[in-house]
Amino acid sequence: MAEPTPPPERPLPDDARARIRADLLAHAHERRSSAPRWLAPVGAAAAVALVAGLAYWAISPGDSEQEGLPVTGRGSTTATPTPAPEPSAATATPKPDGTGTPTPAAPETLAETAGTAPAPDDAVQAGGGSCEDELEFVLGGASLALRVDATASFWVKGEKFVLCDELHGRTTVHRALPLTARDDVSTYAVSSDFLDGMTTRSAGGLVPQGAEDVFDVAYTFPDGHTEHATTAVDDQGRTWWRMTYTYDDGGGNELKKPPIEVTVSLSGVQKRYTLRWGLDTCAQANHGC
Amino acid sequence: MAGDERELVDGLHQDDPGALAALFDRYADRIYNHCFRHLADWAEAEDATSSVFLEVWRHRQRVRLHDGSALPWLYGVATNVCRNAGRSRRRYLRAVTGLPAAAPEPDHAEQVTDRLGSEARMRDVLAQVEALPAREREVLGLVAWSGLTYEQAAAALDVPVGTVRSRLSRARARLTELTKEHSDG
Repeated sequence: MAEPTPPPERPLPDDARARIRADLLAHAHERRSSAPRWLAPVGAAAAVALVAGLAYWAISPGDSEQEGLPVTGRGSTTATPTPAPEPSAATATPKPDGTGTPTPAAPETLAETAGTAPAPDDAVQAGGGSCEDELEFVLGGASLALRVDATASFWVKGEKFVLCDELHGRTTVHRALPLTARDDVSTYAVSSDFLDGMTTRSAGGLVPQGAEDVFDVAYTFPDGHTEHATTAVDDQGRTWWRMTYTYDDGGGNELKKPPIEVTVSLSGVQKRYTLRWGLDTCAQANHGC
Repeated sequence: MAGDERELVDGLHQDDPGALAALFDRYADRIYNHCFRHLADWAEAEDATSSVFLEVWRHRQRVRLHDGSALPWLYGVATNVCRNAGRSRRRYLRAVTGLPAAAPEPDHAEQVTDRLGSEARMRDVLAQVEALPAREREVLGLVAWSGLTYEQAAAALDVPVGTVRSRLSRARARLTELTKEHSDG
Protein backbone atom coordinates (compact mmCIF):
# COMPACT_ATOMS: atom_id res chain seq x y z
CA MET A 1 0.00 0.00 0.00
CA ALA A 2 1.44 3.31 -1.08
CA GLU A 3 -0.69 5.37 1.23
CA PRO A 4 1.29 8.34 2.54
CA THR A 5 1.23 8.77 6.30
CA PRO A 6 0.71 12.17 7.88
CA PRO A 7 2.86 13.26 10.85
CA PRO A 8 1.69 12.33 14.35
CA GLU A 9 -1.16 14.25 15.88
CA ARG A 10 -0.54 16.93 18.47
CA PRO A 11 -2.90 18.63 20.89
CA LEU A 12 -4.16 22.13 20.37
CA PRO A 13 -1.72 24.36 22.31
CA ASP A 14 -3.06 25.50 25.67
CA ASP A 15 -2.91 29.20 24.86
CA ALA A 16 -4.76 28.70 21.57
CA ARG A 17 -7.29 26.47 23.28
CA ALA A 18 -8.00 29.08 25.94
CA ARG A 19 -8.19 31.89 23.39
CA ILE A 20 -10.50 30.04 21.00
CA ARG A 21 -12.72 28.83 23.82
CA ALA A 22 -13.10 32.31 25.26
CA ASP A 23 -13.82 33.73 21.79
CA LEU A 24 -16.41 31.04 21.15
CA LEU A 25 -18.20 31.68 24.42
CA ALA A 26 -18.20 35.43 23.89
CA HIS A 27 -19.52 34.95 20.36
CA ALA A 28 -22.15 32.44 21.46
CA HIS A 29 -23.41 34.67 24.26
CA GLU A 30 -23.59 37.61 21.89
CA ARG A 31 -25.31 35.73 19.08
CA ARG A 32 -27.68 33.93 21.38
CA SER A 33 -29.32 37.25 22.18
CA SER A 34 -30.08 37.99 18.57
CA ALA A 35 -33.48 37.06 17.24
CA PRO A 36 -33.67 35.44 13.80
CA ARG A 37 -33.29 37.91 10.97
CA TRP A 38 -36.64 37.05 9.48
CA LEU A 39 -38.39 38.09 12.66
CA ALA A 40 -37.96 41.84 12.13
CA PRO A 41 -39.84 42.07 8.81
CA VAL A 42 -42.42 39.60 10.02
CA GLY A 43 -42.90 41.67 13.15
CA ALA A 44 -43.18 44.86 11.13
CA ALA A 45 -45.74 43.28 8.81
CA ALA A 46 -47.71 42.03 11.77
CA ALA A 47 -47.63 45.49 13.33
CA VAL A 48 -48.89 47.12 10.15
CA ALA A 49 -51.69 44.56 9.91
CA LEU A 50 -52.56 45.19 13.53
CA VAL A 51 -52.66 48.96 13.02
CA ALA A 52 -54.83 48.59 9.95
CA GLY A 53 -57.16 46.23 11.75
CA LEU A 54 -57.47 48.43 14.80
CA ALA A 55 -57.97 51.54 12.68
CA TYR A 56 -60.80 49.83 10.78
CA TRP A 57 -62.23 48.57 14.02
CA ALA A 58 -62.05 52.05 15.56
CA ILE A 59 -63.75 53.93 12.73
CA SER A 60 -66.28 51.41 11.54
CA PRO A 61 -69.84 51.34 12.93
CA GLY A 62 -70.97 48.23 14.66
CA ASP A 63 -71.87 46.62 17.93
CA SER A 64 -68.77 47.82 19.61
CA GLU A 65 -70.60 50.78 21.15
CA GLN A 66 -72.17 48.45 23.64
CA GLU A 67 -68.77 47.76 25.00
CA GLY A 68 -67.91 51.45 25.31
CA LEU A 69 -65.60 51.42 22.34
CA PRO A 70 -65.12 54.35 20.02
CA VAL A 71 -67.83 54.98 17.45
CA THR A 72 -68.30 57.45 14.67
CA GLY A 73 -71.49 59.39 15.26
CA ARG A 74 -73.93 56.56 15.76
CA GLY A 75 -75.49 55.16 18.87
CA SER A 76 -76.58 56.57 22.15
CA THR A 77 -73.75 55.91 24.52
CA THR A 78 -71.65 58.57 26.13
CA ALA A 79 -68.62 57.62 24.18
CA THR A 80 -66.89 60.57 22.63
CA PRO A 81 -66.38 60.29 18.93
CA THR A 82 -62.70 60.14 18.23
CA PRO A 83 -60.79 60.23 15.02
CA ALA A 84 -59.10 57.18 13.75
CA PRO A 85 -55.77 56.75 15.43
CA GLU A 86 -52.66 57.78 13.62
CA PRO A 87 -50.32 54.89 13.14
CA SER A 88 -47.63 56.84 14.85
CA ALA A 89 -49.69 57.75 17.87
CA ALA A 90 -48.39 56.75 21.21
CA THR A 91 -50.10 54.02 23.17
CA ALA A 92 -52.98 55.35 25.25
CA THR A 93 -54.67 53.71 28.16
CA PRO A 94 -58.44 53.33 27.81
CA LYS A 95 -60.30 55.46 30.31
CA PRO A 96 -62.23 53.70 33.03
CA ASP A 97 -65.52 54.86 31.55
CA GLY A 98 -64.70 53.26 28.29
CA THR A 99 -64.37 56.50 26.40
CA GLY A 100 -60.69 56.22 25.93
CA THR A 101 -59.29 55.42 22.57
CA PRO A 102 -57.18 52.31 22.46
CA THR A 103 -54.48 53.22 20.08
CA PRO A 104 -51.86 50.77 19.06
CA ALA A 105 -48.22 51.35 19.48
CA ALA A 106 -46.39 52.64 16.47
CA PRO A 107 -45.48 49.87 14.03
CA GLU A 108 -41.79 50.49 14.40
CA THR A 109 -42.11 50.06 18.14
CA LEU A 110 -43.83 46.75 17.70
CA ALA A 111 -41.33 45.66 15.14
CA GLU A 112 -38.51 46.47 17.49
CA THR A 113 -40.15 44.57 20.26
CA ALA A 114 -40.78 41.58 18.07
CA GLY A 115 -37.41 41.52 16.41
CA THR A 116 -35.15 42.25 19.30
CA ALA A 117 -34.43 39.96 22.17
CA PRO A 118 -33.41 41.51 25.48
CA ALA A 119 -30.27 43.53 25.09
CA PRO A 120 -27.22 41.44 25.82
CA ASP A 121 -25.86 42.29 29.20
CA ASP A 122 -22.58 40.57 28.59
CA ALA A 123 -20.94 43.47 26.88
CA VAL A 124 -18.40 43.38 29.68
CA GLN A 125 -15.47 41.00 29.58
CA ALA A 126 -16.32 37.41 30.42
CA GLY A 127 -15.58 36.72 34.05
CA GLY A 128 -15.96 40.35 35.07
CA GLY A 129 -19.47 40.18 36.48
CA SER A 130 -20.94 38.80 39.66
CA CYS A 131 -21.73 35.10 40.01
CA GLU A 132 -25.39 35.84 39.40
CA ASP A 133 -24.61 37.64 36.14
CA GLU A 134 -21.99 35.21 34.93
CA LEU A 135 -24.05 32.09 35.47
CA GLU A 136 -26.93 33.41 33.44
CA PHE A 137 -25.70 31.62 30.34
CA VAL A 138 -24.65 28.51 32.19
CA LEU A 139 -27.61 27.84 34.47
CA GLY A 140 -29.84 30.87 34.06
CA GLY A 141 -32.21 31.51 36.95
CA ALA A 142 -30.26 29.39 39.42
CA SER A 143 -30.65 30.23 43.11
CA LEU A 144 -27.91 30.54 45.65
CA ALA A 145 -27.76 27.32 47.64
CA LEU A 146 -24.68 27.97 49.71
CA ARG A 147 -22.04 30.62 50.04
CA VAL A 148 -19.06 28.61 51.24
CA ASP A 149 -16.82 31.58 51.91
CA ALA A 150 -15.92 34.90 50.33
CA THR A 151 -14.76 33.19 47.16
CA ALA A 152 -17.02 30.22 46.51
CA SER A 153 -20.72 29.63 46.18
CA PHE A 154 -23.00 26.90 44.90
CA TRP A 155 -26.07 27.66 42.80
CA VAL A 156 -28.91 25.29 42.03
CA LYS A 157 -31.66 25.11 39.46
CA GLY A 158 -33.79 22.04 39.07
CA GLU A 159 -31.58 19.00 39.12
CA LYS A 160 -28.40 20.87 38.28
CA PHE A 161 -25.90 23.01 40.10
CA VAL A 162 -22.93 25.18 39.34
CA LEU A 163 -19.96 26.18 41.43
CA CYS A 164 -18.96 29.82 41.19
CA ASP A 165 -15.53 31.10 42.23
CA GLU A 166 -14.67 34.74 42.69
CA LEU A 167 -10.91 34.95 42.88
CA HIS A 168 -8.60 37.89 42.27
CA GLY A 169 -11.38 39.95 40.71
CA ARG A 170 -12.37 37.25 38.26
CA THR A 171 -15.54 35.22 38.39
CA THR A 172 -15.41 31.64 37.24
CA VAL A 173 -18.59 29.71 36.73
CA HIS A 174 -18.15 25.99 36.39
CA ARG A 175 -20.12 23.87 33.98
CA ALA A 176 -23.51 22.79 35.26
CA LEU A 177 -23.47 19.30 36.75
CA PRO A 178 -26.28 17.05 37.92
CA LEU A 179 -27.06 17.15 41.64
CA THR A 180 -26.83 13.39 41.66
CA ALA A 181 -23.16 12.93 40.97
CA ARG A 182 -22.14 10.81 38.03
CA ASP A 183 -19.64 8.12 38.75
CA ASP A 184 -17.10 9.49 36.32
CA VAL A 185 -14.27 11.93 35.99
CA SER A 186 -16.50 14.84 34.89
CA THR A 187 -17.75 15.10 38.49
CA TYR A 188 -14.22 15.93 39.63
CA ALA A 189 -13.03 18.13 36.74
CA VAL A 190 -11.28 21.29 37.89
CA SER A 191 -11.43 24.82 36.62
CA SER A 192 -8.11 26.52 35.95
CA ASP A 193 -7.25 30.14 36.39
CA PHE A 194 -3.85 31.51 35.54
CA LEU A 195 -3.35 34.83 37.26
CA ASP A 196 -0.22 36.67 38.34
CA GLY A 197 1.97 33.69 37.60
CA MET A 198 -0.05 31.44 39.87
CA THR A 199 -2.43 28.66 38.93
CA THR A 200 -5.65 28.06 40.80
CA ARG A 201 -7.54 24.80 40.36
CA SER A 202 -10.91 24.35 41.94
CA ALA A 203 -13.79 21.90 41.96
CA GLY A 204 -16.84 21.13 44.02
CA GLY A 205 -20.05 19.21 44.25
CA LEU A 206 -22.68 17.65 46.39
CA VAL A 207 -21.75 14.93 48.84
CA PRO A 208 -23.98 11.87 48.33
CA GLN A 209 -26.76 11.77 50.88
CA GLY A 210 -25.96 9.60 53.87
CA ALA A 211 -22.25 9.63 53.14
CA GLU A 212 -21.49 12.95 54.81
CA ASP A 213 -19.21 11.42 57.42
CA VAL A 214 -17.49 8.90 55.22
CA PHE A 215 -16.71 10.97 52.17
CA ASP A 216 -13.45 12.51 51.08
CA VAL A 217 -12.07 13.90 47.85
CA ALA A 218 -8.34 14.51 47.54
CA TYR A 219 -6.49 16.05 44.61
CA THR A 220 -2.81 15.39 44.09
CA PHE A 221 -1.12 18.00 41.92
CA PRO A 222 1.99 17.85 39.75
CA ASP A 223 3.96 19.61 42.49
CA GLY A 224 3.26 16.67 44.78
CA HIS A 225 0.86 18.51 47.04
CA THR A 226 -2.39 16.79 48.02
CA GLU A 227 -5.34 19.00 48.76
CA HIS A 228 -8.38 17.56 50.50
CA ALA A 229 -11.85 18.96 49.87
CA THR A 230 -13.61 20.80 52.67
CA THR A 231 -17.33 20.45 53.28
CA ALA A 232 -20.14 22.80 54.28
CA VAL A 233 -23.86 22.35 54.80
CA ASP A 234 -26.55 24.50 53.22
CA ASP A 235 -29.93 25.56 54.62
CA GLN A 236 -31.58 22.45 53.26
CA GLY A 237 -29.16 20.17 55.05
CA ARG A 238 -27.26 19.23 51.90
CA THR A 239 -23.51 18.82 52.29
CA TRP A 240 -21.26 20.29 49.61
CA TRP A 241 -17.59 19.59 49.06
CA ARG A 242 -15.18 22.08 47.64
CA MET A 243 -11.50 21.97 46.76
CA THR A 244 -9.32 24.87 45.71
CA TYR A 245 -5.57 25.02 45.43
CA THR A 246 -3.30 27.80 44.20
CA TYR A 247 0.28 27.06 43.26
CA ASP A 248 3.13 28.03 41.00
CA ASP A 249 3.07 25.43 38.25
CA GLY A 250 6.38 26.61 36.84
CA GLY A 251 4.95 27.35 33.39
CA GLY A 252 5.75 25.26 30.35
CA ASN A 253 3.70 22.65 28.60
CA GLU A 254 1.09 21.15 30.91
CA LEU A 255 0.85 18.06 28.78
CA LYS A 256 4.38 17.11 29.71
CA LYS A 257 3.62 17.28 33.42
CA PRO A 258 2.17 14.52 35.56
CA PRO A 259 -1.62 14.66 35.54
CA ILE A 260 -3.74 15.72 38.49
CA GLU A 261 -4.92 12.63 40.34
CA VAL A 262 -8.18 12.51 42.27
CA THR A 263 -8.88 10.03 45.03
CA VAL A 264 -12.48 9.73 46.11
CA SER A 265 -13.15 7.83 49.33
CA LEU A 266 -16.62 6.69 50.18
CA SER A 267 -17.19 4.46 53.19
CA GLY A 268 -13.65 3.27 52.97
CA VAL A 269 -13.87 2.40 49.28
CA GLN A 270 -11.50 4.40 47.13
CA LYS A 271 -11.79 5.36 43.49
CA ARG A 272 -9.09 7.09 41.53
CA TYR A 273 -9.49 9.39 38.58
CA THR A 274 -6.80 10.89 36.40
CA LEU A 275 -7.68 14.30 35.02
CA ARG A 276 -6.78 14.72 31.37
CA TRP A 277 -5.07 18.05 30.72
CA GLY A 278 -7.41 20.39 28.95
CA LEU A 279 -10.38 18.05 28.93
CA ASP A 280 -10.81 17.68 32.67
CA THR A 281 -8.87 20.73 33.77
CA CYS A 282 -10.97 23.36 32.08
CA ALA A 283 -14.29 23.00 33.86
CA GLN A 284 -15.19 26.65 33.63
CA ALA A 285 -18.07 27.60 31.38
CA ASN A 286 -17.96 31.37 31.24
CA HIS A 287 -14.42 32.02 30.07
CA GLY A 288 -11.37 30.29 28.68
CA CYS A 289 -8.65 28.51 30.59
CA MET B 1 -21.01 8.91 26.37
CA ALA B 2 -23.86 8.69 23.88
CA GLY B 3 -26.45 9.99 26.33
CA ASP B 4 -23.99 12.61 27.36
CA GLU B 5 -23.58 13.75 23.78
CA ARG B 6 -27.32 13.78 23.29
CA GLU B 7 -27.44 16.26 26.17
CA LEU B 8 -24.80 18.38 24.47
CA VAL B 9 -26.70 18.45 21.21
CA ASP B 10 -29.95 19.22 23.03
CA GLY B 11 -28.07 22.04 24.75
CA LEU B 12 -26.98 23.41 21.37
CA HIS B 13 -30.53 23.21 20.09
CA GLN B 14 -31.56 25.21 23.14
CA ASP B 15 -28.92 27.87 22.46
CA ASP B 16 -26.76 26.87 25.40
CA PRO B 17 -23.22 28.27 24.99
CA GLY B 18 -22.04 25.84 27.65
CA ALA B 19 -22.85 22.97 25.31
CA LEU B 20 -20.69 24.55 22.62
CA ALA B 21 -17.84 24.90 25.10
CA ALA B 22 -18.22 21.27 26.16
CA LEU B 23 -18.24 20.11 22.55
CA PHE B 24 -15.13 22.19 21.91
CA ASP B 25 -13.38 20.72 24.96
CA ARG B 26 -14.19 17.25 23.75
CA TYR B 27 -13.30 17.52 20.09
CA ALA B 28 -11.04 20.53 19.57
CA ASP B 29 -7.93 18.35 19.30
CA ARG B 30 -9.44 16.06 16.71
CA ILE B 31 -10.72 18.93 14.60
CA TYR B 32 -7.40 20.75 14.95
CA ASN B 33 -5.52 17.76 13.60
CA HIS B 34 -8.07 17.15 10.86
CA CYS B 35 -7.65 20.75 9.71
CA PHE B 36 -3.88 20.46 9.90
CA ARG B 37 -4.05 17.50 7.54
CA HIS B 38 -5.89 19.71 5.08
CA LEU B 39 -3.69 22.77 5.48
CA ALA B 40 -0.24 21.52 6.52
CA ASP B 41 0.08 24.54 8.77
CA TRP B 42 -0.51 24.41 12.52
CA ALA B 43 -1.29 28.12 12.86
CA GLU B 44 -3.86 27.96 10.09
CA ALA B 45 -5.28 24.82 11.63
CA GLU B 46 -5.84 26.80 14.85
CA ASP B 47 -7.76 29.46 12.96
CA ALA B 48 -9.71 26.83 11.07
CA THR B 49 -10.60 25.06 14.32
CA SER B 50 -11.99 28.28 15.66
CA SER B 51 -13.99 28.78 12.45
CA VAL B 52 -15.35 25.24 12.64
CA PHE B 53 -16.82 25.77 16.10
CA LEU B 54 -18.15 29.18 15.14
CA GLU B 55 -19.92 27.46 12.26
CA VAL B 56 -21.21 24.83 14.65
CA TRP B 57 -22.77 27.58 16.75
CA ARG B 58 -24.15 29.32 13.68
CA HIS B 59 -25.81 26.10 12.52
CA ARG B 60 -26.51 24.72 16.00
CA GLN B 61 -30.08 23.86 15.14
CA ARG B 62 -28.81 21.52 12.45
CA VAL B 63 -26.38 19.56 14.60
CA ARG B 64 -27.22 15.88 14.37
CA LEU B 65 -26.02 12.78 16.10
CA HIS B 66 -24.79 9.78 14.20
CA ASP B 67 -24.84 6.63 16.33
CA GLY B 68 -24.96 8.83 19.41
CA SER B 69 -22.04 11.00 18.40
CA ALA B 70 -21.86 14.52 17.00
CA LEU B 71 -18.37 13.87 15.73
CA PRO B 72 -19.26 12.86 12.14
CA TRP B 73 -21.37 15.99 11.72
CA LEU B 74 -18.51 18.01 13.18
CA TYR B 75 -16.07 16.44 10.73
CA GLY B 76 -18.43 17.37 7.92
CA VAL B 77 -18.34 21.02 8.98
CA ALA B 78 -14.58 20.86 9.45
CA THR B 79 -14.07 19.35 6.01
CA ASN B 80 -15.99 22.20 4.39
CA VAL B 81 -14.31 24.91 6.46
CA CYS B 82 -10.82 23.54 5.87
CA ARG B 83 -11.45 23.00 2.18
CA ASN B 84 -12.42 26.67 1.86
CA ALA B 85 -9.48 27.77 3.99
CA GLY B 86 -7.18 25.78 1.73
CA ARG B 87 -8.62 27.42 -1.37
CA SER B 88 -8.19 30.90 0.10
CA ARG B 89 -4.62 30.14 0.99
CA ARG B 90 -3.82 28.82 -2.47
CA ARG B 91 -5.26 32.00 -3.98
CA TYR B 92 -3.17 34.06 -1.60
CA LEU B 93 -0.01 32.10 -2.39
CA ARG B 94 -0.58 32.57 -6.12
CA ALA B 95 -0.95 36.31 -5.52
CA VAL B 96 2.30 36.61 -3.60
CA THR B 97 4.36 34.23 -5.69
CA GLY B 98 6.32 37.10 -7.21
CA LEU B 99 7.32 38.55 -3.87
CA PRO B 100 10.78 37.80 -2.45
CA ALA B 101 10.77 35.08 0.15
CA ALA B 102 11.07 36.17 3.74
CA ALA B 103 14.40 35.48 5.37
CA PRO B 104 14.17 32.52 7.73
CA GLU B 105 14.22 33.56 11.36
CA PRO B 106 16.61 31.55 13.48
CA ASP B 107 14.86 29.71 16.27
CA HIS B 108 16.44 26.86 18.11
CA ALA B 109 13.44 25.83 20.16
CA GLU B 110 12.82 22.14 19.88
CA GLN B 111 9.10 22.65 19.60
CA VAL B 112 9.44 25.03 16.68
CA THR B 113 11.67 22.60 14.82
CA ASP B 114 9.22 19.87 15.53
CA ARG B 115 6.36 21.99 14.33
CA LEU B 116 8.10 23.01 11.14
CA GLY B 117 9.19 19.44 10.54
CA SER B 118 5.67 18.13 10.78
CA GLU B 119 4.38 20.89 8.52
CA ALA B 120 6.98 20.01 5.89
CA ARG B 121 6.09 16.36 6.18
CA MET B 122 2.39 17.10 5.85
CA ARG B 123 3.03 19.25 2.76
CA ASP B 124 4.89 16.31 1.30
CA VAL B 125 1.97 14.00 2.07
CA LEU B 126 -0.49 16.43 0.50
CA ALA B 127 1.70 16.70 -2.57
CA GLN B 128 1.55 12.93 -2.91
CA VAL B 129 -2.23 12.87 -2.83
CA GLU B 130 -2.69 16.01 -4.88
CA ALA B 131 -3.33 13.98 -8.01
CA LEU B 132 -6.44 12.49 -6.44
CA PRO B 133 -9.82 14.14 -7.00
CA ALA B 134 -10.86 16.27 -4.01
CA ARG B 135 -13.69 13.91 -3.11
CA GLU B 136 -11.33 10.97 -2.87
CA ARG B 137 -8.82 12.99 -0.86
CA GLU B 138 -11.54 13.88 1.61
CA VAL B 139 -12.56 10.28 2.12
CA LEU B 140 -8.94 9.27 2.51
CA GLY B 141 -8.47 12.03 5.10
CA LEU B 142 -11.51 11.05 7.11
CA VAL B 143 -11.09 7.29 7.05
CA ALA B 144 -7.37 6.64 6.76
CA TRP B 145 -6.01 9.64 8.61
CA SER B 146 -8.73 10.67 11.07
CA GLY B 147 -9.86 7.14 11.84
CA LEU B 148 -13.56 7.50 11.06
CA THR B 149 -15.53 4.40 10.16
CA TYR B 150 -17.07 4.20 6.70
CA GLU B 151 -20.45 4.96 8.26
CA GLN B 152 -19.12 7.99 10.11
CA ALA B 153 -17.37 9.29 7.02
CA ALA B 154 -20.58 8.80 5.04
CA ALA B 155 -22.46 10.83 7.65
CA ALA B 156 -19.78 13.51 7.63
CA LEU B 157 -19.87 13.89 3.86
CA ASP B 158 -23.59 13.23 3.56
CA VAL B 159 -23.10 10.48 1.00
CA PRO B 160 -24.04 6.79 1.03
CA VAL B 161 -21.66 4.35 2.71
CA GLY B 162 -21.11 2.62 -0.62
CA THR B 163 -19.83 5.85 -2.08
CA VAL B 164 -17.31 6.17 0.72
CA ARG B 165 -16.11 2.63 0.10
CA SER B 166 -15.74 3.12 -3.63
CA ARG B 167 -14.02 6.50 -3.30
CA LEU B 168 -11.56 5.11 -0.82
CA SER B 169 -10.93 2.08 -2.93
CA ARG B 170 -10.33 4.24 -6.01
CA ALA B 171 -8.07 6.57 -4.03
CA ARG B 172 -5.94 3.69 -2.82
CA ALA B 173 -5.74 2.15 -6.27
CA ARG B 174 -4.69 5.45 -7.78
CA LEU B 175 -2.04 5.98 -5.12
CA THR B 176 -0.59 2.54 -5.76
CA GLU B 177 -0.52 3.31 -9.47
CA LEU B 178 1.09 6.69 -8.90
CA THR B 179 3.76 5.17 -6.69
CA LYS B 180 4.46 2.54 -9.30
CA GLU B 181 4.74 5.17 -12.05
CA HIS B 182 7.01 7.21 -9.85
CA SER B 183 9.34 4.30 -9.13
CA ASP B 184 9.32 3.15 -12.77
CA GLY B 185 9.95 6.59 -14.14
